[in-house]
Amino acid sequence: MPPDLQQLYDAHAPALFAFLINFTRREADARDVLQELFLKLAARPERLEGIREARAYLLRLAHHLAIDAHRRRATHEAAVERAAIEPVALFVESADPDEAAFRAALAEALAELPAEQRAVVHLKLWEQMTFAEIAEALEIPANTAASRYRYGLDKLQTLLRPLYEELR
Amino acid sequence: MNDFERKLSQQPFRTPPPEWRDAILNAPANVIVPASWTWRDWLWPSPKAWAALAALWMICAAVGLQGDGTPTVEGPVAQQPVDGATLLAFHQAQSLNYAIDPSN
Repeated sequence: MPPDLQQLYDAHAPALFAFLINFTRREADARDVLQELFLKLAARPERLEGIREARAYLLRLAHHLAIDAHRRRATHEAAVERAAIEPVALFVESADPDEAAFRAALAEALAELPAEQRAVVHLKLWEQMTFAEIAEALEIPANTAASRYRYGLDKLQTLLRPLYEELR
Repeated sequence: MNDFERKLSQQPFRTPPPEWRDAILNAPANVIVPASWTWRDWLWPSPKAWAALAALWMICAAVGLQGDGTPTVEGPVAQQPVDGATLLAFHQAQSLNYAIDPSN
C-alpha cells in the first residue's frame, strides 16, 4: 500500500525542516530538499515498505539529499556568494528578551560547528536519538557519532556558557 | 543529559511555512509512477526508430549470412606488386634523405 504523503508530511515535516535548516543554514535549500524528498517518496512508494522507524529513515534520506544539494551548489556557486549568506532564523521567536537573546546566540553558536557535528548535535538534542540511531541515520560509526557530539557540545558550551550562566 | 543540554533541547525550532505543505504535496501528484519496468518503457520514446533499427540489423545479418565465407582481406602487402608512382616516391624520399645526411 503506498504511503499517505499528507500523513507523512504532517507527522515528520517539522522535524525534517528543523534538521534541514540547521544542517544547510539556508531556508531555500531546506525547501528544495524537502520537496525532493517527497518527490522521491511519491515516485517510489516502496521505499517505505518494511521501514520500522519512518522518522529515522526520512532523516537519513534528508541528510543524503542535503549533502547532494550542497555538492551541486558548491560546483556552481562562487565562494564569495557562499560567504555572503545571511544568518537564518532557526528558532521560534520569543517575546522574552532573555530567551530571544539565548536563541540568537545558540543559532550563531550552531553555525560555528562543522555541518556533520551540527547534524549529530541536532539529532541528539532535538530528536533525542541514541548514538546508535544517529550512527544509522548518518551512516557513520557510533563512536564517531559520540565523539562528534562531544566536540560539538564542548564548543557550544564554550560559546554559550557566559550567557547561560547569566540567564540562570 | 545535563542542565545545559536540557536547556538547548528545549529551544523550539521554527516549523516549515504553512504554504509549503500544499506546494510540496501537490507536486508529487503529477508524478506518473509506472507499476513496473518493462521493455516498452525503454522503447516508448521512439518505437518506430527502434523498429527501423531492428529491421536494418536483420537485413545486415541476412546479407552477412549469404556471403561465401571467404575472407575479403588481401594478402600481405609485401607480396603485392608495387606501382610506378610508389616506387618513384620511394626513390625521391631516399634521395632527399641522402642530401640531408649523406652518412645515413
